[in-house]
Amino acid sequence: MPDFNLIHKAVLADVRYGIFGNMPPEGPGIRLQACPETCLLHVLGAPGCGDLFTVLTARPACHVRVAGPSQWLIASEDPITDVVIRDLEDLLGERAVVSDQTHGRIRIGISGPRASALLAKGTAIDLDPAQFQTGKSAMTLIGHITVNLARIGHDAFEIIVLRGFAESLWNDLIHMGLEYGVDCIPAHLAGKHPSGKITG
Amino acid sequence: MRLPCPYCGERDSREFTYRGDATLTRPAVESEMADYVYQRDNPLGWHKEYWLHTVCRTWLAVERDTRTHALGPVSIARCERVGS
Amino acid sequence: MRYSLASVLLNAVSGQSRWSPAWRSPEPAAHYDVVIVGGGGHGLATAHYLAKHHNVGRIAVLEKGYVGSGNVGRNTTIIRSNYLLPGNTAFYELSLKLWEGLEQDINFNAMVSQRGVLNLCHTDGQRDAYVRRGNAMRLNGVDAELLDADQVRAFVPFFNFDNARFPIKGGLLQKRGGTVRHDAVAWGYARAADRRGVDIIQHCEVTGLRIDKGVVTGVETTKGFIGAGKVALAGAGHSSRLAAMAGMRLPIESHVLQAFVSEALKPMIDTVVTFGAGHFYVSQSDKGGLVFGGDIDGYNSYAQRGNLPVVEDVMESAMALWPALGRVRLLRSWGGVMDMSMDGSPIIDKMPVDNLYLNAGWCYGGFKATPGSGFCFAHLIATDQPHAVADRLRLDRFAHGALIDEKGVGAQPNLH
Repeated sequence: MPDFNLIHKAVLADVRYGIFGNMPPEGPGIRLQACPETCLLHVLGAPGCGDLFTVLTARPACHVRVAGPSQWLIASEDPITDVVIRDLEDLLGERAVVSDQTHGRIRIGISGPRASALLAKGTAIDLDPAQFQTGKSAMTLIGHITVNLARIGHDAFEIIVLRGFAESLWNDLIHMGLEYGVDCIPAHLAGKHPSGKITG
Repeated sequence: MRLPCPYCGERDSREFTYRGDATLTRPAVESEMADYVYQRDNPLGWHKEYWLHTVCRTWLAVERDTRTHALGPVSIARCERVGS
Repeated sequence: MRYSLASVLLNAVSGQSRWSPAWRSPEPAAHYDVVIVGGGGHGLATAHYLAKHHNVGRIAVLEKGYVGSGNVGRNTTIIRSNYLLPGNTAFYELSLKLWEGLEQDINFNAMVSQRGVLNLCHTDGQRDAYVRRGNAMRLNGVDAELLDADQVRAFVPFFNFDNARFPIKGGLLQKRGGTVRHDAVAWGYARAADRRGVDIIQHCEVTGLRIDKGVVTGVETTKGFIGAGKVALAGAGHSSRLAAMAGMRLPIESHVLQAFVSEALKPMIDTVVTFGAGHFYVSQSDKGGLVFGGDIDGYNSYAQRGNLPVVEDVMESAMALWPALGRVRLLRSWGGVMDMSMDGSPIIDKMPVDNLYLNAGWCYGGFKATPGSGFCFAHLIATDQPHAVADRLRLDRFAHGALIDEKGVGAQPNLH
């Protein structure tokens, strides 16, 4: 019998949800989405491994983020299993090692017409769609917190952040977005946008 | 100040951590160790120094003018060490 | 003219016409017994104490800019002696005692104000460290008081005590600490030294040292060669450049430290407070401006101006500690170039070249050390023996491992 019963709880389970700030008549400028903690893998390339981005993106149902030189993060909506990791290790062979980061990092979706304006308050990356196109990702800071930032649509971004910083970042993002109106959506409503519901 | 990370592109200096004089070489003999650890040229003008791009974890070797913060060549420190 | 009530009254009735310049502007002589390189606070204090206490003959102070243009006018004016380690505690306490008698000594109103210096703690571990430091101070005869949270609240009620991340748990108070008007320190020492016959030569930059068979014989300057029996280097921020003129490297990097002043406000804070969870310290000047400072920029710099990330850091710390500052407007900021030494403590020692002396490596602590530094440096120059309270501030302590590292961060000058 284990000494402690581990409680699996989403890190953003108890943060503030609902609508915050000045709500413009056309609806919230920002939607913050806590993503389900399903699967997040870190791929660390061996010296001289080359760019594995194309190799990794060829696999189905996963999102690949660039996480530094010869490093990638892979996120998926499908739950993590040993088989997933083994398949990936078989694919990469000697070229890279894979480590499960599902417990260590989480994803936050940021979308809405003012998403770029919100992020520009925190990061040094030029978010002009011509410079930072859909599908592009980069490591950067938001405030003092290191994140991986990806553009997944014209007005849609996704952040990967260390689990311990997630709640702080969530609150920072709400604070930064008050002037645009922020609609914060919990993970279990992923994919649904309960617009108009005012709480908090 | 903005520093160009060869990997990520130009970024604000707050993404970087200063890691000191890049001209020092660890000596082979004990008698030179104190100089290596403590003594610095501390030049007025061009200075070769290490910066860590904290977010992508790349060590850079940067030449910078300590009077104006103008930047000279920036390279990935790892490649530089292998080459030297 | 000696400053006194009589001199003020005399000038009041004579149209302020009887004042004389506070110091002369002499042309350099061909030779001095002692040449002090650097007319900042430390150089001028050294000249004053040399002339007052030691019979060393003719003295000159060479300043590349004008008196008060360097770090003596670029700090946050705080004085204190709340140090932990042997080598620092007694030295800074001597300095604080000299501050206490300074104005009478130099006949100049430097506005020495012992309004107290309070270091806040935000964790139990930090309080333990302050207990240790406070006890070390008291064992050395320095005043120190440990305040609990309620006592801090009574002393400075306007801070954010219940900040979830940095609750204020108490503080270490040194009541004899405080502030001094920094320009007046430069002017006062310059005037006092001048009245004892010291030549203060402004706009005279030293460009080289003349060294003959291991003995320094004079300095090359922008006003020509000046012979010297002894040469004393007190060029804070540029000590490495001066040492390089003698073919030496120092355990020092030059870094820029920024300071800030707000618009003038009605009295808000009657003491000096340092935040324990970020690098931020604040007091209020007699003109009403809040004076605050933070960390160094963190990379070698001779620029005398700072960069924006540190401005942001300081303002974030200010808001965390004192949310009422949110609507205060910043008036000015400035930067000073400092010698950051490899252990965070200064150097007052002889150099390997005969008759060449070094006063350097003051890090953040230069201003509060001004009288003590001048006093001990003068003693060393005149007697060739270190003063008893400065005998650990040696140049060779790095090679011998006798570091005086208050923060315990090692040979990382940007972290001290």
